[in-house]
Amino acid sequence: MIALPCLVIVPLVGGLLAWIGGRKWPGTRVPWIASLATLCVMTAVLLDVTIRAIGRPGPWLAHFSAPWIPSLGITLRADMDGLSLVLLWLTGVLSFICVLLASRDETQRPGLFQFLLLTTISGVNGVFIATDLFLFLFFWELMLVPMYILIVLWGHEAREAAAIKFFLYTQGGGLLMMLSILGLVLLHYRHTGVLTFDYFALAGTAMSGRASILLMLGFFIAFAVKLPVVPLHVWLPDTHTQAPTAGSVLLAGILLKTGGYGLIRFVVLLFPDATAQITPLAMVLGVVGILYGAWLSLVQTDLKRLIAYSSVSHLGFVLLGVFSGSTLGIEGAVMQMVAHGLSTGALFAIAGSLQDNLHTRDMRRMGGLWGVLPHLSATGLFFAFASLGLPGMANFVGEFLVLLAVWHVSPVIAVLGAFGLVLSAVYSLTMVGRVFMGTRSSDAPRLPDFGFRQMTVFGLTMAVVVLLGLYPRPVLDLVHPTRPDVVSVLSQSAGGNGPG
Amino acid sequence: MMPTFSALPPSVVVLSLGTMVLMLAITIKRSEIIDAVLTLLTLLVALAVLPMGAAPSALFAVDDWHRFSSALIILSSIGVLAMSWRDPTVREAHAPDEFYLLLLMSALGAVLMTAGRNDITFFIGLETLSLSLLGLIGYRQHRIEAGEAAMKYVVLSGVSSAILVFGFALSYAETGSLVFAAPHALHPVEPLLAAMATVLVMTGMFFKLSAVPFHTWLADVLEGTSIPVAALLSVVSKIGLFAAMLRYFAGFDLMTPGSVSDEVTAVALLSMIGGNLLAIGQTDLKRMLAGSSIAHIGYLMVALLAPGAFGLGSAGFYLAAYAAATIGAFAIMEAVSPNHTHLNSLQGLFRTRPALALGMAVMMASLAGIPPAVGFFAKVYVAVAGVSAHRDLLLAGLIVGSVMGLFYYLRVVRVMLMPATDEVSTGRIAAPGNAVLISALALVTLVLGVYPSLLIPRNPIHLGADVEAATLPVSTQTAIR
Amino acid sequence: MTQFFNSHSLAIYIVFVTALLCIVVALSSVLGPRRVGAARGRSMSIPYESGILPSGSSRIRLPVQYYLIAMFFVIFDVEGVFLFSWSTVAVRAGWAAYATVLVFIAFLGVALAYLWRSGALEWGLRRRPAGARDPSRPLPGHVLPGQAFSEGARAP
Repeated sequence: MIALPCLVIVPLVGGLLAWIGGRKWPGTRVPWIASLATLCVMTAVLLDVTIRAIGRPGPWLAHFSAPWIPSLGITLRADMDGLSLVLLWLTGVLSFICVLLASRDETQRPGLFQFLLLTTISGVNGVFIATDLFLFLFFWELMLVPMYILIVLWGHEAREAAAIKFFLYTQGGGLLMMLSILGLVLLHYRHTGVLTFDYFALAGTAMSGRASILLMLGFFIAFAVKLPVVPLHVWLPDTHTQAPTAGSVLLAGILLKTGGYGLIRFVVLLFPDATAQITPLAMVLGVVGILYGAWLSLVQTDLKRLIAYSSVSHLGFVLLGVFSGSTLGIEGAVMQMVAHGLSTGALFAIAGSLQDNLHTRDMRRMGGLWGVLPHLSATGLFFAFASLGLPGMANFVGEFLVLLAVWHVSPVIAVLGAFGLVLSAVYSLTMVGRVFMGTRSSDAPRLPDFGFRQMTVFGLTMAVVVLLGLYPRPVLDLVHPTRPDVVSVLSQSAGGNGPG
Repeated sequence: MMPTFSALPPSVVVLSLGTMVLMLAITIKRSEIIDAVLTLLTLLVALAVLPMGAAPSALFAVDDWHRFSSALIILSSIGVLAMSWRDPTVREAHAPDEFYLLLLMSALGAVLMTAGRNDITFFIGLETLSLSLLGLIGYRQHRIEAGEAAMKYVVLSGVSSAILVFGFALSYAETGSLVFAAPHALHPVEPLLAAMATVLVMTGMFFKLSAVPFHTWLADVLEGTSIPVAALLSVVSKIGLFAAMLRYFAGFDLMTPGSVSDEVTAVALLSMIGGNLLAIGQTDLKRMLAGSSIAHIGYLMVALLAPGAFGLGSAGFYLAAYAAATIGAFAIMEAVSPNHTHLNSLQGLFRTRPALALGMAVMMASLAGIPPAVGFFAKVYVAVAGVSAHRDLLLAGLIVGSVMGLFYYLRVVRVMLMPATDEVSTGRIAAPGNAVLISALALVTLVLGVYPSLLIPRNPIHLGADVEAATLPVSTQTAIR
Repeated sequence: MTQFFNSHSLAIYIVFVTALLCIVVALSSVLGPRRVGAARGRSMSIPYESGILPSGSSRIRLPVQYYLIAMFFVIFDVEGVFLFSWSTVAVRAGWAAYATVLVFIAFLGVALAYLWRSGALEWGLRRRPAGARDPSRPLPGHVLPGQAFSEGARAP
């Protein structure tokens, strides 16, 4: 199976080509076309993986392994289960949104822009498939650098402070995770005498309760920074506000999902006992996040900042679902991640488009846009409704499943979470009212509305959101988290064949 | 193994012969090309003869650790040589011939140190290195800052040598032998005296390594010297000293808590935090790299404090990663502007000279420990060693230090990304040697970062902890007495 | 008790030395006469309180070669000592040692030749090459530090 490494390599190579193209033919759309072609190839690879996976027995759908650093027991190992597959598809869809809508008209060094965008996507893909802990860490850190440069170069007025904040928080979390990984590896080494970074081998490590809590906390903090969980969320509003549109979409849509993915894969499944112990704390943090994010969203005047705080609120549901201790909750959490990725990504794209046209993010200076920009406003309305969890849309499924799972654990928390939904309706509708409804304050010049290209992309996204809302079964079936002790049939058979 | 020539390590023989030949060549005819070629040739031959063995001796340990660290030293010296070729700042006061001579001598001293198994051989190596470094620092004698740097270096180097020798004397008084090892390893009669000796020797070494709190001279000295010498000072001399320090503690049990282990831990922590704090406030690149170098010495001490299979391997790997990135950063500064090392000189580099800027970004990423540069794996490797030895406090320091380090490493990248100012011209063309050096180092940093097992030996290196074998034969001992 | 003294001899020595020094300093500050103000007198601030009054300036400029030659003498003299120690065992040490000594002497010879050639042994002021020197240009030959500085300062 060479397809899995291709998911990482294709965007990287494509990005390099786009960069070279941009330098060679400045002032043309060459980098953008290269980037689009790369995404098409990547999607084709993904499609190939998916089709092959359909007939596969067992939860693990694809496998790749090659030696890397044998003296430390580090291999290039990648496995894919349903969870990875769903998130990879989410990445694919959102990358298209980024490239088709946001980065097409980038005139300032477009080659570099596309390169950085694709490198980030490559790192994210790597995070979603790596099952060697060192490899995972490698990708985890790798995806930060291009994002940092994207924000520094193309961000808005206070970009430098936002970029450094983003980098320091996530890197600090990453370093803690590095210590946890090493602690786990060496604990395993002490017990068995085998030095390995392999996820499946490490899953069975016997450890004392205290050790497992400490190790788990390292992972938990790293992912909590990324998700984000409330006391560690401070980097998020600034970063999202200051990032360029494509960067915001990528951040909200995909990068935050790596946190949720990590929580499921490396916290819940790797440390089940320790997870059970911190469940109350995590639940409280989740519900605090929901209410706090929603409360702050209510008072924002900056459009992007409002969406950023609403992300904090929505991702609180992910934390609740992951720690609810039931399959139902995890299914709901994944659904919520997908739905949030799509709807918030789209909202950021719309907000970015508004900012490009109006040169402001201040909602007090907007209003009455419906008459001027009917297509854009309708799209915005749709995704605002999706985001507030209107039944029939994917967000509703996710939130509902999470609340259902949490109800079985703690009704109080579930009620508080549901209250967050009410708040989210309030701020979403306020936003719609302030931006799109009302009267246009002055007879401003005519603004360009969404054209065919934008409407096609958003239309397809809407279709996905509605489809998942009405018929979520396939995704829910796929995302049953696969326990690491279920050793892949593929890896055993592929072990004989060697890599490839 | 090839036949042995003498008890001297073969590379030492080659380097000393090369020094003499170079001196003769300068006597006969002053020509920079001849000097450079001779220096390069000597270094290459010294590198080539490294695998050869030597007759067993009580003075030199010609083992794998010596070979590895000497290879690093010689390669770094070649890097400095490439950097200084056609550097205008090196030759503004003097003809450059003696520069090459001193460069070769400092390589000789550092190589000698890595093989030293006896206090005397170590000390001769150390002084050869220090004296030639002094000459190099003061090479631009008409500059006031060079004079300041040379004066600071000579005073502190002298003081630290004195402290070191006093430690050796105490150690000799206690154990009756001049074996280069912590006296605890030699079963001393009086632990207090032995501990005092160790602490004094360590203090001397910390001075030369510029670990906090013995670090104050480094930033000033680096600022006052030319860029190649700054690179030499922060790479070659530190590799030599750190390699020797590992040998010094080879037979010593650093794992059990005690005064020595505590002192090293404290110095390591202080260096990580202090070095980074020093670097954060700097706007001069050389001073910033001085702080960074202090912090990296602190990280390296985590490996020193974690003896065992991981400690030595990670120390070696980290040294290599540090050397490549630091020399690379200095080489790029040299290519951008040899005289003006303010942070502003890099402004807009990504637009004016993108290849150089990319190289600098790679070096900064490596120093900061960000993949795909080699510094990332180096940091993970050191952390493996630290975790395996349960050095929790040091690991916390490593993390705090790394996060602090991001501030200034990323600042360099950010300045390079900023729009270029008008007065910044496209600058001079990088000298060919320097261009080759920069591309080679960038390549090494990236390739090793993606495929680090190239530098990890299959069989872990063992440091000769055979203290008993290293004791001098009785007749020689009496002769020395 | 004797056991303690035997095994901690150096520590005790250190303690005694420190104590002795403290006592000496303390005694001199307690017992010594103290004069303040006019009672201090002029003689207290000259180098020799009871001796001859110094005359002339203490800043005498010696040519820098003086120090150089002195250093070379010390260096070569000390290196000659190695030959003495070899001479006592010359016959027993054999041809290998003889060869080593020859290499050593050759090295000394090369070093001497280098010094001679770079002008380190020349005494007195040396004539500069004609024309003002551009400091950024490499010098045609080696110039001793003192000269380069003083003459550079004198140049208009």
